[in-house]
Amino acid sequence: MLEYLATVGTLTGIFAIAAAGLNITLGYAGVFSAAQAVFVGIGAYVTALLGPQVGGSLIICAVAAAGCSVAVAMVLALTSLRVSDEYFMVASLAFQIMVSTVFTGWYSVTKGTDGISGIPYPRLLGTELSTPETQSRLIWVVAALVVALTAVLRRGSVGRLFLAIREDPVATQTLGRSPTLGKYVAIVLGAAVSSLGGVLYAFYIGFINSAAFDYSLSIQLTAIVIVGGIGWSLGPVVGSAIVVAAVPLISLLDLPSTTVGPLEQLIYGALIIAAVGVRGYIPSAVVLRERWAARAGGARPWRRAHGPVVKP
Amino acid sequence: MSLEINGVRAAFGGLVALDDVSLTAEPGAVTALIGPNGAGKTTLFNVISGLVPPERGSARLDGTELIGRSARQVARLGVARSFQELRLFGGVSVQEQTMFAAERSVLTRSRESRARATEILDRLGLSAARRSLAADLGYGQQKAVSIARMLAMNGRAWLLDEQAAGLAPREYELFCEVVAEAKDRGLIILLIEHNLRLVKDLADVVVFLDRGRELVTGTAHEVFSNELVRSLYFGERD
Amino acid sequence: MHELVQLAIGGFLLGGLYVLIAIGMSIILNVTGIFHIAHGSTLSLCALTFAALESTHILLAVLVTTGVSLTFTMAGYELLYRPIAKRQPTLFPLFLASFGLWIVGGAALTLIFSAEPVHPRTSLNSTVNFGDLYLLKINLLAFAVAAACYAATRVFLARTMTGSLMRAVACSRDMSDVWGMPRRRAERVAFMIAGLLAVPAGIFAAYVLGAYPTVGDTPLLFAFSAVVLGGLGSIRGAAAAALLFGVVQGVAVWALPATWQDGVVFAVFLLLILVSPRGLGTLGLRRRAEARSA
Ligand SMILES: Nc1ncnc2c1ncn2[C@@H]1O[C@H](COP(=O)(O)OP(=O)(O)OP(=O)(O)O)[C@@H](O)[C@H]1O
Ligand SMILES: [Mg+2]
Repeated sequence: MLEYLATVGTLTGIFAIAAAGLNITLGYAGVFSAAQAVFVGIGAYVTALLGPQVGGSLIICAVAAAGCSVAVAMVLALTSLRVSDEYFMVASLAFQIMVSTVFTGWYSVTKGTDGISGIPYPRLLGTELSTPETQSRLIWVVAALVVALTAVLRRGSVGRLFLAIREDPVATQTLGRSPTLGKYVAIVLGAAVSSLGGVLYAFYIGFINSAAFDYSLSIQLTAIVIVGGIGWSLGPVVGSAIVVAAVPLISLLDLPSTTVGPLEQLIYGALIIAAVGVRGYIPSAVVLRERWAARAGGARPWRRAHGPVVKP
Repeated sequence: MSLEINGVRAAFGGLVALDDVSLTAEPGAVTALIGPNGAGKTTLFNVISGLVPPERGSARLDGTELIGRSARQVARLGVARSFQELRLFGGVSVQEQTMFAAERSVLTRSRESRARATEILDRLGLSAARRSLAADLGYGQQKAVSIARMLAMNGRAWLLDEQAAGLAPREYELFCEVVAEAKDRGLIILLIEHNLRLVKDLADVVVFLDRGRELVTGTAHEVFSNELVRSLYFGERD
Repeated sequence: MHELVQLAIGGFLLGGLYVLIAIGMSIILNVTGIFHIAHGSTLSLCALTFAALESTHILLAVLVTTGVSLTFTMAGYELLYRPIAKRQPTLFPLFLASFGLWIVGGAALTLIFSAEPVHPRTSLNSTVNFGDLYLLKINLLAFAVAAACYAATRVFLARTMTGSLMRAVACSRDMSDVWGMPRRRAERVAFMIAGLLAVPAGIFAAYVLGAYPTVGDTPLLFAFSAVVLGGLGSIRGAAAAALLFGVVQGVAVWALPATWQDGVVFAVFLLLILVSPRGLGTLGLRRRAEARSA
């Protein structure tokens, strides 16, 4: 039981890292990419294939994974330079399914649904992290770093560019900045971060197969980002805690095993709808904090005004 | 050094929104664009700022052709514009969007842009609201944010689209002051207004546009006393 | 070569099913601005309902399926999209809501129905021969019905008052408000048409693909891409793209193992969308209308 909880806790960290990448793309820059699982998958496959060669060196695997997913993300981002938002949603979904097909079909490399096992323990600074506890600690340290980095990114000039693009690309242009370039960067950065999640996933589980990285993972990551609060740097952790840790607790109820999966899906879906319907597009936490800050600063009570954003 | 618009024609399908419009906006002067709804005033701004490609014509800023450039390039040449519908970043705080407007690239130091934003927001009486989201502000304050973004851009030419409409008296005064200061600094100022008192007070040159044609150009007094303008705009009949 | 033609024709006929879903989604998108991807659940729902009742009486099954489909679609519009659109009328929240509904729908169906595909029996499950081509009768019938539905939809949009209202709303949603057109009615009818078109699609999906809770997902993804590839605003384009996907999907099996099927279709889609980012359709009503807001 304790072991189960530890595993769930660690998986929460892994998914939080993967979702933090999507939070950059979707949450900050407002680019709806349904292909995030591709990058998690690339991270995992790079680890599974390269890991044994390099004695499980975490750094080498992470760098190689980030490099590969950046290269693939550039291909995806090329389409975003050419098509409008609605198109990109669909294009990214198509991209996801295409790459999933490659994961499944390119048997000689990926071993398809049979999967690759025998991934070594990760090695960091000369020490092998051979127990689940040390790996779990590693994962949470990485998760904390990723959250901190995205928070810094969000507050800096890059973050401002991303938000501007999300809010109004035309106005962004007339302020002399390029929405396309910003989108490009957001997609590539998000991919690099998500691939880290894939690297840690492969090391932690020790086995991967193509089914783990199909579009249902993209859906799950989207659910995490939205439920956690779009564009909030801590959102992926909160969302992951809800989606990966809390919802699967229903399996502790005395349910037939076939209903657990769909029931979880049902709850994700309901959570997404609730997040959109109840809180609006901006996470309530951020809005509340800004309002609180504004009140503390002695601003006039705000009136509701027109604008693209709607408050809870 | 001026903004010269020459023979601009723009159409949406069969609708000719601008028909051979020419005007010159001098630096250190306010040029007001007036005319009934649908006259094509906003469309002219869209043409200048690179959002609507005209069928023909030219717009030069200090001799540099603006037509054919992207909206981003035009902005980087120093043309700052506001939108009739403001187009603020609703979910972004006032301070952050002003900082964003002050930055020319992601490499700009945050400290510099923050200092600049703080100064501008103080000038516009927005410092108390600087952490609010733009969508949470009242209409008058939202208009002030739009001005703050233009100030932050540090452009050479301003295109103001009905920025004074709907302002409270104190906000209106502040707006006039800011425009007067910009004029003193030698900026090229082109503004669209329906408020004729403001046009009378501020404008050095008035251009009257009707159904895409530029009908009368002159001082406020000349234009307002023109027969054609009186009948078309003020609805006076003889 | 002969096999290739056989596969292409098979895919083309299956494409009719995608057409039914694609034009429903296309109409909804044009009139309301909502990417109704929950339409995939509607298709699964129709297939499952029909398969469950088909043994009692076929007419009864069709009627109940129609009722269920309309109820689900209209409930989605009235209870989900409208409340959200009232507060956030932009593309993104509505898309997310639809996305959520799609997941909920699929999960609920999996909870209610068994995951095993149910194949309703039919005497039409035999072949007819044209020269040396073998075609399943049920596939031919499905295609004929799809073609008839497509034609009926086009006539409806072109000839009736409601149809012209919908086209006007599609042209410019903002202006339709200004002119006081009954936009609500246009939207409601758009959802209704999509719900009705899903009925034959679901019934034939049950016969051709078997009825299981996620049967609608692949057609949905194809239709979703077809709507985009056809050019937003073009029903004809969406239908053509859907047929193209059917053919590509059929032909893909010729050269590659079946696992690559979907990948090939989406690779073709990505290539085409890169070549022609505005979609293949020429009408592009909505594009033009959108240029206004720039
Ligand atoms: N993007 C567009 N697509 C089609 N028609 C347009 C577009 N933009 C403007 N128009 C049309 O061009 C004409 C001129 O519009 P414009 O917005 O320039 O008027 P305006 O002088 O700014 O009016 P107002 O005082 O109401 O702001 C109008 O008839 C308008 O409907
Ligand atoms: Mg205007």
